[in-house]
Amino acid sequence: MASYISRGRFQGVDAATPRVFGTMSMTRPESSVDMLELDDATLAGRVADGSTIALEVLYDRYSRVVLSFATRILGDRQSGEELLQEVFLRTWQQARNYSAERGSFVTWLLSITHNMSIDEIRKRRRRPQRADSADPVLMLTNVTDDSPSVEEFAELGDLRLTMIRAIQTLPMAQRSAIELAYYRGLTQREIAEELGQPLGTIKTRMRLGMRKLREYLETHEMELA
Amino acid sequence: MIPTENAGQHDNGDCAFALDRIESFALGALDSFDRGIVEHHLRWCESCRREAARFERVVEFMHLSTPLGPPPSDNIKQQLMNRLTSDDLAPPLDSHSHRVERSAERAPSPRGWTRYIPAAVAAPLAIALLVVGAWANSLRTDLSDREQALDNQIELNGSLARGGQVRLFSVEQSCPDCEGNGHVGVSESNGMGMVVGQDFNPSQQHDVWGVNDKGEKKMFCKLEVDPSGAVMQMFTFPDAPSAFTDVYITDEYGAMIYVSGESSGTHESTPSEKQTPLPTT
Repeated sequence: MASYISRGRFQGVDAATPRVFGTMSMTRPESSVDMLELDDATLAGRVADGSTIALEVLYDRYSRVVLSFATRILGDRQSGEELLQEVFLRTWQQARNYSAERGSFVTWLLSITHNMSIDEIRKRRRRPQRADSADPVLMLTNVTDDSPSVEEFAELGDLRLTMIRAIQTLPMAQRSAIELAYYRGLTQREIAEELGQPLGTIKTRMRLGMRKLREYLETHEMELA
Repeated sequence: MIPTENAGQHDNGDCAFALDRIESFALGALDSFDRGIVEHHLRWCESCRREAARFERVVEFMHLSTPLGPPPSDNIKQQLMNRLTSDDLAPPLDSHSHRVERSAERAPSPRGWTRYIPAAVAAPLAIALLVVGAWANSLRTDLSDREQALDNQIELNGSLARGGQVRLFSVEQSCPDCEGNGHVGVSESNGMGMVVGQDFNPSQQHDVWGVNDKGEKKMFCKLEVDPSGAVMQMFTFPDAPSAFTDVYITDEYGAMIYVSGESSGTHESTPSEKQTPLPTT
């Protein structure tokens, strides 16, 4: 993992190092060794141009991140690995849609992962449940988990800790509504039915919870726009 | 409805609908209908788009706070690379190529007299409207040019719209899954409307909906689409037409084809492309 960090392809929020996107060497790199030096946005551009080597480099950088995220939502590693392939195939097909102006490549990649994971969960709900399917216990926070997080891997400082604290400020009812939407892909109406609550109540909880999260993150100088 | 802190910046009535759902939109917790309305609004309203972006960043931070697990198995990468180089995997797409691919899959418009069935039906249908005399005169079909699309054969009279007898809405192609476009005409006096359009997917069910000034959604009718993709159909408004601020056409998956506000003729629009990380259809 240290070798990926030292290549500096992700500038993060280090104020001493200006964020650089789209840099190109004078000679167009052809080998995977040259590709390793490129930042994510440039690699994404190469993928859009049809470079399998560029996709391979991005896979090496972020497959663990994507797998961790997918497994957390889907609940089992096998499903996570299957989705990992699909995420990178989608990246291969839609790399041209990525723009560095909208944010980092890893957040774009994880958005794809989240969306595809939720789609898979929704498909499962429409199918008869397998006997061995697990209903994952999912929490936005897990204070006992000491493993490094995606953000630590991607050099984003104390994001995870800040996010954990932000979630902990929410009343349980608001946190539950957000978690059911985020991890299980339920709509407001479905959440209301599952919890036996009025739709308006769920809407309000989700709204207030998200506003509190935004306010907390903005107060702690997290760039949100 | 909880007032928003940025309410003063949003002077468009459509903003209220979007802002009331903006947090849930960012979480992906809206049903397909509401999501489609908000998505369309965000194409046009920069203020609401900024608001949505702030909540989407909250969701992105949720992604990044996930604990890191073990790396994937070694064979996964090889399987992926094998699939990339296989013949049946499409090359990288640009942002518009899926539309080109879908258009190529559509059957070409039939030639000959069958194209004019909608036009032949139009005259007796138009008489049913209270202002039908002017309406019927406004319709003319160009039988001499078989290559023109249906909306070139039927030209709605702009003077009717300016006279206030009939309101015109233009159907904008805003849904990536359907090329449907055309016009919706509304007669205020007898509460009837008419949809005229082309390039709708005939294998899908399309419904016409409206949102009134109370924010209530009501279905007007189910469209009957000609195999060529043409539509010419009348419907009755469930309430007074003037109460409806927005009209939508949806396909069976809830994808939206937004019908814009009142116009005096063909509405030319070029909505800025909203980059989304992943289409969820």
